[in-house]
Amino acid sequence: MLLVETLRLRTWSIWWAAVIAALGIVLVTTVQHVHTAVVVNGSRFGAIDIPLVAMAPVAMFLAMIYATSAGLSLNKEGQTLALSWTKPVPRPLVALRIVAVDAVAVAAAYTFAWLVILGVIAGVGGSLVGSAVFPAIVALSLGVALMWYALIAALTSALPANTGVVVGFLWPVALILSALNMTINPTIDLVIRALNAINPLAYLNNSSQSSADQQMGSYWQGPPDERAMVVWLVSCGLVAVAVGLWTRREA
Amino acid sequence: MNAAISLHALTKRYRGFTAVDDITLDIEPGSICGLLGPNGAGKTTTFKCLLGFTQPTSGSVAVGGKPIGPETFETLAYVPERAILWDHLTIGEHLAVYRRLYRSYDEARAREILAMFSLDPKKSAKKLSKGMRSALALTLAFSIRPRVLILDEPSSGLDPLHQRHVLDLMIDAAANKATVLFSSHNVGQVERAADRVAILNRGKLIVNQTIDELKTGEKIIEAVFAEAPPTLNGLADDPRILRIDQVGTTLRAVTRGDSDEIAQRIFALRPRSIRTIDLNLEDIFLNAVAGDQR
Repeated sequence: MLLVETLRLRTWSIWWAAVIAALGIVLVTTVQHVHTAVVVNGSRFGAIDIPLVAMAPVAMFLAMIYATSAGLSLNKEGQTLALSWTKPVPRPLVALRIVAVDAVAVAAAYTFAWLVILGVIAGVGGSLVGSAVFPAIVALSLGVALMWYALIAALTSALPANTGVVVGFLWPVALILSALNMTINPTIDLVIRALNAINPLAYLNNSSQSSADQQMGSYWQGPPDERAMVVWLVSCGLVAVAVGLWTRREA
Repeated sequence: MNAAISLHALTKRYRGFTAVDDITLDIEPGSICGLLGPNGAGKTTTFKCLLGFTQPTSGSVAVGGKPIGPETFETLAYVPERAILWDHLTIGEHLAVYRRLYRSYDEARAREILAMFSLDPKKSAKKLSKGMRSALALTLAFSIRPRVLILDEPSSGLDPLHQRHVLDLMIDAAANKATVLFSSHNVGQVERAADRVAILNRGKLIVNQTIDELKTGEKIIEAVFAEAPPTLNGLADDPRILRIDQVGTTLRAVTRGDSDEIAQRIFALRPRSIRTIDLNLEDIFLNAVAGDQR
């Protein structure tokens, strides 16, 4: 089943990587051709310092796009249950092998996104600035991409079809829920908090350490490393739900 | 000896509708059992219960004397009615998956069957016609040299030449001590390949006999009279007569058991001619289903 899943991701991976790489090349080429117009803080754009931490959300967002398609793998395998359930492999193991390939692929996509980001920064002559929280931010942003994968898998693994509707609604719903930070009334607030527990984007507040984020406050208070740990744990829980639902399907 | 495939009091209900109704069926190792039945008779649901795709409402299934489990599929191959394949894989990649999953995978056998069905390993599964998809599904099934084969309409979509190949593959597998359970709407195929026939109708198993038992057991006695057939003198109530049809001056009686004695009783009615005809499996199937409907 490892081979089946690896080959399933093949086409999507090639397209995704090609588009990301092309965007990077276009960005570098554009900036290199604008010699005089782009001036930021009194210097040419390429000369500014770029904090590594600020690039983590970009890599995460690109990996989430990749994870959106990978998250549908269990659902897609649901169309061929008569094949995958008549193999000498227990059903949960079939599902876990699929998830394992997908998780590695999402992590690879996140890494590739970073490579493109670093290439772009190098290409425009920018200089990177490290930070003590960078490892925690990487763990958090990669965790959010994986949690996004796990959430989609959990929502769609038992569905017969129409996953496009689920995925289409998930992006705006997740964004809106993560932004609903004010107290409306206690009951609604409780529901929003509960939904945000499985909303990967709700764990991002403060992750960029921006003053705007700090003013907004955060549902999931705490330093990035703690939030990363919660994100990884919730991801495991969502994977367990996805696998459980998938193995209970009827072929 | 344990039955290779065993269904015991198998029942499956869906919201008040009984798809499979108390079926008990044992299939001996090395035999080929043809499962016949009209559409909606419960054939596919029986397969689904047998393979663990759906939980039976009651009853049990066993393969090789054991309940179905992952290890069962080391030696069991299944081909569904609608050939299900991984559409993102080529034919060759399907074979590669089987090579990794099955210890018993036989590469030479797989290549031989691919050639038999004229399948190109480089071709993508999603570009295959319905018949070619069935052919690939069959190739995969036979490539692992299974001990038990469950085939749901295996020759669906195949041309007559390839349908013959499927029969040959089944007969060859049984000759090598594999057990085959297959469903088909093509009664001729069942008659040619199977040594046992099970007929399902409305979820019930109405016939479960060897082909020989069925053919020797049932006959048609056809008598032609000069005028309309005379009063039958209680002939229709004879339990050995399954059905009597009268069309014009012809009387046709389907019998089970001692057909000679029935023929003598009809002969006593002084027909112009009388003859006894052996039933083929199609007649037996139609009689069984028609008899069950009454």
